[in-house]
Parts: sequence; structure tokens; C-alpha cells
Amino acid sequence: MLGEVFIRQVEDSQRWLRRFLASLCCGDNFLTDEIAQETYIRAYLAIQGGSTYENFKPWILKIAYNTFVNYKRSRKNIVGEEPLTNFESEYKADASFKYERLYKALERLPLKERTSTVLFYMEGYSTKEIATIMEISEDSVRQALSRGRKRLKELL
Amino acid sequence: MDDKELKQLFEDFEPELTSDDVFMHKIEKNMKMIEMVRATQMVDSKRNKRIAIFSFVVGFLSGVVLTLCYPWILVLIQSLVISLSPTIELSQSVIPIGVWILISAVSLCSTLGTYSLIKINLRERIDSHVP
Repeated sequence: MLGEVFIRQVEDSQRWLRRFLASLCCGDNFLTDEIAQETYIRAYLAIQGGSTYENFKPWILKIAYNTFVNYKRSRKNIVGEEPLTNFESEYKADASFKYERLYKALERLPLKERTSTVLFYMEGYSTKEIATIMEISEDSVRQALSRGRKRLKELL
Repeated sequence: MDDKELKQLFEDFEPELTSDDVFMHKIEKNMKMIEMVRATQMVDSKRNKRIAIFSFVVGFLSGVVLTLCYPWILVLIQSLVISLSPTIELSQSVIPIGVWILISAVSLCSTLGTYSLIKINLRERIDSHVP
């Protein structure tokens, strides 16, 4: 029963979640799917463990963001001092390359700036909501957003 | 690029993603695997609980039997101590304490022994059934 309800939620949410993750992963489809799968598994386990949420979308976005941060941290430990952008570039698989410029610009933004900008412009969240999703202060979100916006405008 | 164009760029963002069916199939497969692991863990936990209860009962019963046999054990130990070292004088209260410690130790050992034996036996049986 719980599984069926969850499957329905995944069906309804997977497109926009993968769209959000695709922008964080700068067009790396393989990585996008891996992070999305892990996000849903974590969410499923959390629900089974008794976790509750008021609104599914910000809740799953929070899990997705944390999963992505964990992935980045684990890569940092493995890759060491090598810039992470190199790894991402190798796996770029967006066939159309339609958003190549956007991906390249996003890739150059630090994670906080990238996520704040994507959540603000793509998902239309307020700074308060972004702060809740990213578990940082509203001031940090405003700063990251302002810096991210400025850099993106320069890069694009 | 101004703010409006940036907003438009993100709003129109429709990346080429892998097929929804493939993604959903993988999710369902992962969920089935989670359920399988969870079910196995529940069976394991229930089995462990049953083994623990059974071992406790065995230990308790051995404790009861040994307590009922206390007078005979006490006499046996006393005669054993006297025959082994007739020169040493043990106080009357030391031997009973020793006997109680012995009874507790035997009960505890029978509890732990039963638990270990059942676990080993079960593991061997499970190992022989692994495909």
C-alpha cells in the first residue's frame, strides 16, 4: 500500500526532480538518474522509518540536494585536488547540446550559488523556501543568489 | 543578459532525460529489493527473538533444577573440600556462597550455550540451502 502510494508520487514528481538535478549535474544524464534514484530510495526509507512531510515537493528537493552534496563530498575525497568540473565534463551526455552554454556557466558556479539560482529561477521558490530546502540562512541564500545571478549574466 | 532573459532561459529549460519507463522500472526494482531485505531482516529478528526466549527458558529451568538440588550439591562440595584439603578450615558461609555462584554460572553458561548452539545449527542449515 505504502509502496503503491510512493510509486504514484514518484511518477508525478520524477520529471521535475530530474530536470532540477540535470541543472545541478550540468547536463550529465547518467549522474542525474543516479542521484534521482538515490533520492527516491532515501525518501522511501525515510517514509518507512516514520518521516512525515507537509509538502512533498520541497521535501524531496531537500533530499535531492543533500544527496547531491554527499555525492560531491565523496567525489572530492576520491578525486582529491582535481577540480570536480573535469569529472562532470567527461560524462556530459545531453545529446542535443542545446543547453551547453547554460551547463558550462552553471558548472562554473559554486554549489550554493548554482542551487539557489536554479531553485529561484527554475522552480520559482522564495529565498525563505530555498533557505529551508538548503538548510542555510536566508541571508546566505540572498548572497548566493545575487552572486550566482551576476556570474550567470556575465557568463551567458 | 538581463534578469528577464535569465528567468526565461530557466523556465524554458527542458533537458533531454532518459526514458520515464526505464527510470520508473529501475525505481520499482530498487523498491522491491528494499522490501526483500526488509522482509529478511524481519524474519531474522523474529527468529532471534524466539531463540533468545528459548535460551532464557533453558537457563531458567537449569537454575531451578540446580536450586532444587542445592542441599545435595552443598553436601557434595563440602565433602569434596574436606577430602581434598582436610587441613584447611573454610567458614560455613563461604561454601554456600561458592555453591550459589556455581549454580548461577552453570545457568548462565547453559543460556549462552543454548543460544550459540541453535545459532550455529541454524547457520549451517541456511548455508546448505543457499542457491
